[in-house]
Amino acid sequence: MLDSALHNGKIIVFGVGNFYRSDDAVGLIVLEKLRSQNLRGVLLIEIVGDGLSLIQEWTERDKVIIIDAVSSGSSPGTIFRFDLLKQQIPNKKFHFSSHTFDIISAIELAVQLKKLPSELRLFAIEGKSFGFGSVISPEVFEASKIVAHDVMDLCKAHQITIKSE
Amino acid sequence: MQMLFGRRVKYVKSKTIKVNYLSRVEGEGSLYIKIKENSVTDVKFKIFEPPRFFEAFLRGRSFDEAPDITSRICGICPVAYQMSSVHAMENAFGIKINEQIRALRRLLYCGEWIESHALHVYMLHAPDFLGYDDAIQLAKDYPDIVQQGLQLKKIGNEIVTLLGGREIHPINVRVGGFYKVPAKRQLLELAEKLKKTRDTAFQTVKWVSTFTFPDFEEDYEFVSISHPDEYPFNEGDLISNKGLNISIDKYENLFVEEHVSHSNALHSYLKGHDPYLVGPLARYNLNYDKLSPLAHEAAKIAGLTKGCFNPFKSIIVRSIELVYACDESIRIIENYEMPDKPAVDVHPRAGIGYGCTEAPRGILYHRYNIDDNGMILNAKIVPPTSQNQKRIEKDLWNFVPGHLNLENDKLTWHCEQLVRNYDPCISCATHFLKFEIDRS
Repeated sequence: MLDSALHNGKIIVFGVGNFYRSDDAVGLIVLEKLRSQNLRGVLLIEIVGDGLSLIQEWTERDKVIIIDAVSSGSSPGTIFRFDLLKQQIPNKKFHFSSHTFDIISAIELAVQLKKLPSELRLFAIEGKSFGFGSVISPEVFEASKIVAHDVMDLCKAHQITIKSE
Repeated sequence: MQMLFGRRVKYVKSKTIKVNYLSRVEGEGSLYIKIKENSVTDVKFKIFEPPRFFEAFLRGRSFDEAPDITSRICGICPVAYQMSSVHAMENAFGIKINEQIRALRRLLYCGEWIESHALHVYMLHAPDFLGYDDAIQLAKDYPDIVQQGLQLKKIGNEIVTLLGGREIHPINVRVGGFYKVPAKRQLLELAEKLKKTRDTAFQTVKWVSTFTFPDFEEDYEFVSISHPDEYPFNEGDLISNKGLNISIDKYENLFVEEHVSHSNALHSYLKGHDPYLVGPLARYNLNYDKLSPLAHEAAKIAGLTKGCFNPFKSIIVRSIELVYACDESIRIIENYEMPDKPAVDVHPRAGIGYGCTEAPRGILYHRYNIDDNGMILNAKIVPPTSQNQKRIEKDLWNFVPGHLNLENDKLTWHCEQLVRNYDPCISCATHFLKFEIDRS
C-alpha cells in the first residue's frame, strides 16, 4: 500500500514494465534492487503501462526518477539518461510501450497541465527481447545493476538536498 | 452522384482506407477497409501484438498464483482478471464466500470501472467528438476538463489502492477473499470523496450528451451477465436480447473461438448467431432496471432510453456507469461491516472451475482444470476484446457504405472513432491498431 508518510519524502522512483514480457521487466527489476536497500524517504512505485498513474502520483515539489525499458535499435543493455526538464526525448526513435497513454504521453500532458515535478529524470535501458516470458537477457540484467547503483546515488544526493531545504 | 441506402452519394470507383497505427486504443493493431464501386469488399481489424500465451504459462502453476499472473495480462483491468480467476477457482473447490467479502470485491470492481471509464471517456474518446487528435491537444484548450477526468480517475485509483494493496496490479486479492480487509473508518473517508466524485460523474453525463453523434444504429445482440438483484459485476448468468440464457459453466458449449489469418487474436462467435456485442452498451441495455435511481436520472437527462443501439453513444453509457459505480461504492461502504476473517479457508481439490465477470470492456471468461494438489492442468481465458472483434468488423461493413461521400480523412476519422467506441484492449485480446481504407 502506498504510504502517505513516505509520499511526503518527495523522492519518487517509478519502475515501468511487465514481469512477464522478458526485458520489459527491467524497470521493475531495478525497483526490486532499490527495495532491498531500504532507502528511507524514497517512494518506490511499480507502473505496468498506465502512464497517467505517474502524473497522478507526483506533485510539483517532488523529485521523480523513472526507469523503463526501451527499444531504439541500440545494443541490448545500453543505458540512456535523460533530464526531462532540460532535454526532449527523441520520441520517434524510442518505442516505449504498446499502451495508449504511455509515460511519454503522460509527461507531455503534465507539461500542458503545468503539473511537472521539480526534477524529472529518466533512465532507459535498451531491451533485447520483449516477447512473452519471465527471463531477462544477461546484458540487460547487467545494465539493471548499474542503473540501480546510479539511482541510489541520486536518491542519496536528493535526501541531502531535501534535509538542507 | 447516385442513391445508396436512401442517401445521395458521390460515385466512388474504388478506394482503400488504411490506418497503420490506430491511436488511443490499448495495444497495437490496425484497420483495413477496401471499397470498390461504392461497396465495401473487405474489412480487416488486425491485431499485431503477439499472442501472450498466458494460458500455457499457467499450466503447472499452483491455483493461488492465477490471480496475480493473470492480473498482469492488462495494465488497465487487472481487477477483472483477478476477479474472474478467483471466482473460477472458488467454483472448482466449492467455496462460498461471505457477504462482506463479496461486497468488498464489488467495491474493488467499482474502483476499476471508475479508473477505466474515466480514462476512456476523457482521455481517449472525448477528443474524437471535440475534434482533437488526443487528450494532450485537448488539454491545451481545456485543461480544466482534462483535470476533471484525472480527478475522477484518481478516486478509482484510491479504491483499488485501499482494497487491492496498490493501485496497479493489486496484490491483496486471493482465492477465498483478501489478505487484509479495511476497517470501516478507512472506507468512510473514501465515501466522503466519492460523494463529490459522483457529482462530477453526473456532470460528465450532461457534458458528453451534448456531443454530436453520427446517425448509425445496428440490430445488436447484446451479451452480458445478469444478476436477479444487481447491476452485474461478479456474478450471474449469461443472457442476451436474442434468447441466450445460460449458466457460466455452459459458456464453451455455445461460444467458440476461431483463428483468422489477419489477426493474432482469436475471434469469438456464438454458434448460430450473428456477431455479438459485449461491454457497457450490452450491460446497460440488458440491465437498465438494475441501475440506481441517480443513474436513471442521469440517463433521462442525457435523453437516453433503455434501448440504445447507437455505438457512438457508448460514451454516454460509460458516463452513466461512472455515476452508478460511484453510487454503488457509497452504498457498499455505508453497509459495510468488517468481517472477522479476511478470507474463508480454501481446500483445493481436483475439478473444473468456471468464472465470468464484467470487466470495464465486457465479459471476461476464465476456466481452469485443477488436479488434486491444486495445480493448474489447463486454463482458458477469453477477454472482451476477442469477443467484440467480429462485431467491430460488422459495424464497419455497415457504417462505411452510408458515409462514402465523406473525404478520406473524415471517413478514416469516423472509422477509427467507431473502433474506439468499443474501448478495445488489444493488449488483452492477444492478444491490437494500424488502419487502412482502400478505394483503389
